[in-house]
Amino acid sequence: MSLLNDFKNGLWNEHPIFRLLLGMCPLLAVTTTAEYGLAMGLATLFVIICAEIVISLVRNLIPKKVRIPSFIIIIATFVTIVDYTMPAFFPEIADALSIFIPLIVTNCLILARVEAFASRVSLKRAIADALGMGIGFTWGLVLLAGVRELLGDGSVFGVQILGEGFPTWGIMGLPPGAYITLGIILAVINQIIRMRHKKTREVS
Amino acid sequence: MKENLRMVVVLTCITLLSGLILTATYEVTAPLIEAQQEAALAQAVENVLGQVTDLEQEIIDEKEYFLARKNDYRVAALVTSARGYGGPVDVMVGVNVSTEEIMEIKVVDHTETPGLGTVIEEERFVQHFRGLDFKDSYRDEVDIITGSTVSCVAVIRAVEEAVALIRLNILEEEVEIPEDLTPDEMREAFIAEFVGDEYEEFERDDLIVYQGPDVIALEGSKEGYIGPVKTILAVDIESTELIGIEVLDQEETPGLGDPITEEDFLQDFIGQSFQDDFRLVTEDPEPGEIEILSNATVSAEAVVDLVNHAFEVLRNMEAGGEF
Amino acid sequence: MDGNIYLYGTLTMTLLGAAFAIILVIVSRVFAVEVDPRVEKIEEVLPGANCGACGEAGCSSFASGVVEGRVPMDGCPVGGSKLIDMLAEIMGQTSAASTEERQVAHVLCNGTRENAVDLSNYEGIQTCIAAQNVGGGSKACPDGCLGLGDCVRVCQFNAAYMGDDGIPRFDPARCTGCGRCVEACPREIVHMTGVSRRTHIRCSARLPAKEVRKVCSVGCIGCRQCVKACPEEAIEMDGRLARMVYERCTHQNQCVPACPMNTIQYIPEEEWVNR
Repeated sequence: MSLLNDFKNGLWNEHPIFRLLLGMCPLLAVTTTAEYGLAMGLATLFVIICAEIVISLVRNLIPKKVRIPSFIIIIATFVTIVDYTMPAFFPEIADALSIFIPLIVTNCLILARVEAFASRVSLKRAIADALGMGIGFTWGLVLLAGVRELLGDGSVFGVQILGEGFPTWGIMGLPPGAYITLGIILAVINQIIRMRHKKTREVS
Repeated sequence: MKENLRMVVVLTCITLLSGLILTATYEVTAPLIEAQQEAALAQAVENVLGQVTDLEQEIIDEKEYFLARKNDYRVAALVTSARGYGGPVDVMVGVNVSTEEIMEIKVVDHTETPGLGTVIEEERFVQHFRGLDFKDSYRDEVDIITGSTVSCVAVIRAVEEAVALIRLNILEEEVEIPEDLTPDEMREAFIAEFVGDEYEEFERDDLIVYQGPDVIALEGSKEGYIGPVKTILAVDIESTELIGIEVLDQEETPGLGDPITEEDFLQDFIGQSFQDDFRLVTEDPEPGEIEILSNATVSAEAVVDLVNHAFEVLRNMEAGGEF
Repeated sequence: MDGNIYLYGTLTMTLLGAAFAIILVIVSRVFAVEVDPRVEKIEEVLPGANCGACGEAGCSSFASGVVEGRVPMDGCPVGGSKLIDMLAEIMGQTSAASTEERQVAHVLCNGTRENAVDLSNYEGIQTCIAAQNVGGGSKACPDGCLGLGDCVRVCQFNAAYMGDDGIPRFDPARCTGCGRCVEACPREIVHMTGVSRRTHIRCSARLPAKEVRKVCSVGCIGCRQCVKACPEEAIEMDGRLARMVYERCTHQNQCVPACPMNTIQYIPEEEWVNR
C-alpha cells in the first residue's frame, strides 16, 4: 500500500466520521458554527499528527503490556499543550470549545489510529495516516457545522449567506440539530457509495 | 523480571518527559492567557462604558467594581449573575453614577437555549435598559420576549441587583439588596423578628415549632412543582392571627413559580386566624382566600397546604392546652 | 512556587507514572492468564470481517477454536486456501486442504425476464422471502429465481449484484464463498461451485416437461440428452431434473449442444462479470 493510499484512506474510504463513526462526542457538541468545527478539527489534527509521529517513533521501545497507558499519556500531553495554547492565542474559540478540548484525549479516533496503525507501521506511513485521518475529521466537522450554521443562523463562517428574511431553524443550534444533520449526511454519503459501486460494476 | 522493569522504566520516562514538556508549555502560555483574560475584561468594560479615563478596580464585599470617569461623570460597571433557564446568566452592567442612569448592559456569559434564550444578547432586548433611571424593579420597564421569559427575567434580576449594589456601595444609599439569603439566614432573621430571643424548639407532625412567649413560629415543607417548598410562618398567640410568613427555600421555575416568594402573594395570608383554613380561588380573593397565581398554581398550593397544615397543628396544640 | 513549577509538575507526573507502572506490574503478575500465542497469530491472519460464515461468533473465537482443535482449519470459507496454508504454518502442520478449490456462488436458473413466463404481477414487499411466502412472486415457475435480490442484499463483500435481466450475478473475483447467499435464497437455487467451473445446468425446475415448456423457454425438461452426451458421466438425473456432478466434469462441453432447451451453458471466464 502506498503512502498516498494511507493518506486518502482517511479522506474518504475510511472517513473517521462518516465511515468509521468515531469521535462522535466533539462532533455533536461543538459543531454549532463552521468556525468552531474548523477549530476543533485543527486541534484534533494537531494532536493526531503529533501522537502518531511520537508513537510510531517509540513503538519498538514500549512494552506491549503498557502500551495503552503510554499512548494515553502521550496523547494527553499533546492535548494539554493545545489546551494551554488555545486560550493564549484564540481566547474566544477556546471559550466556545471549553471542555471539549481536554476531551480530545478520549476521542476514540486518536486512540484507535494510534493503536491500530501508528504503533505498527513506519514513521512515513503513520504521518500519512495521521494527515488523512485528521484532515478527514476536520472536513467532516466543517461540513456538519457549516450545514448547521447555514440553517441555524443563515451564515457560514460568520458570513451572512441567506437573506435576512430566512427563518432560521432554532433546532440546528441544539443537540437534536446535530443528530438530524449527521443522519442526513450519513444517508447521502451511503447513497453516493452505493451508486459508485454500481457504476464500477457497469464499467467493468 | 526484565520485562517488568522495562514497563516501569518506560512509563516513568514517558511521564517524566510529558511533565517537562507540559510545565514548559505552561510557563510560556500562562502570561499570555492572563493577558488575554485582562484584555477580554477591559473589552467587556469598554463595551458597557465606552471610552473612559481613570479606570480602576475596587473590591467591595468580594465583588469587583470598575470605577472610571467619562467626561465629567463618574461611571461604574460590575458583573452580576442570576439564575436563567440553562444556568447562571452573567450580566455586565454599566451605569452613570452621577446621573443615576443605566448606560449599557451586556450579557457576558450564559448557557441559555440557542435561538430562544439567546435573545438576551441581542440589541432588541438590551436596548430597553439603556438610559433607565435607578429603580428597585425593572419588570415594568422592559419588554419580556415570548419564548425567553426565564432568560429575560434573569437578566432583569441581575440588573436590579447591580443597580442596588451600586446604590449601596458607591452612592452609599440605604437599599435592600435583592440578593438571595440562605434559608438558614432567612429563618434566623424571621425568628428574631417575630418570635424574639427566647423560644423553645421542637418537632410536631413534620413541622418544626419555635414556641416563644407571645408568638409561635412553624416551619415545614410541601412538594411544589419541581421540589419541596420550605415555608415558615408566625402566629400571635393572643390574637390567634398570622403575623408573618416567608418562603425559605424553593426550586420552582425561575420567573414562573417564584412569585410565591414575593410580598404580593404572601401578604394575603397576614391577619388570618388559625381557626380557619385558607382556600384557593381563581379571582377576587376575600379574607380567608388566596388567589391562584397563573403559571404558579402548584407552587402556590404548596404554600397554602403548609399553612393549613400548620393551622391544624396549632389548633391541636391549643386544644391540648399547650399555650 | 513559580520557580518550582518545573520541579512540581514534572515530579508529580513522574511519580504518578512510576506508581501506576508498579501497580500494573503487580496486577499483571497476580492476574496473569496464560494465552496461547498462536491465537493472536491466527487472529492477525484472519480476514477480520467477523462475518460468522465459519459458524463461530467472530474471527477471534474462530482463532481460539482452531488452537483448541474445536474448529477445523479450513473452517473459514472467506480466507480460502491461502489462509489454510497460513493457519497450518502457525499450527505447525502441513496443510491438508490446500489443494481444495475456492468456492464461488452461482444461480442455477436462467429465468430472465425474456426467458421465463410471468404468471402475475407481484407488488408486495420487494424481497424474495416475502414473495415466496405470499404466493411465489410474479414468475410462473415455482422453482425459478424470484429476482428480488435477497442474495444480493446479504452479500457483505459486494460480490453479488442484480443483472438487468432480473437474475443476480456473482463476481467470482469478489466472492469469498461465505455461503450467506445460499442460505438467503428461499428457493435454494444459489449453489457453491469451484471457481474454475464453467459449464452449468442453469435450471432448478422439478416440473414435468409439459409444465416446464409452459413456464420457461430455457427450462430443463428432463430429456436425458445431456446425460447420454457426456463422456465422463458427469450429469446425473435428480428426478426430472438434470444435475451437474462438478467433480467429474472436464469441460468437454458435449452436453451444451445436446440440450434441446439451451439450459446448459458454457460461460467463458471473461464473460462472467459482464453478463
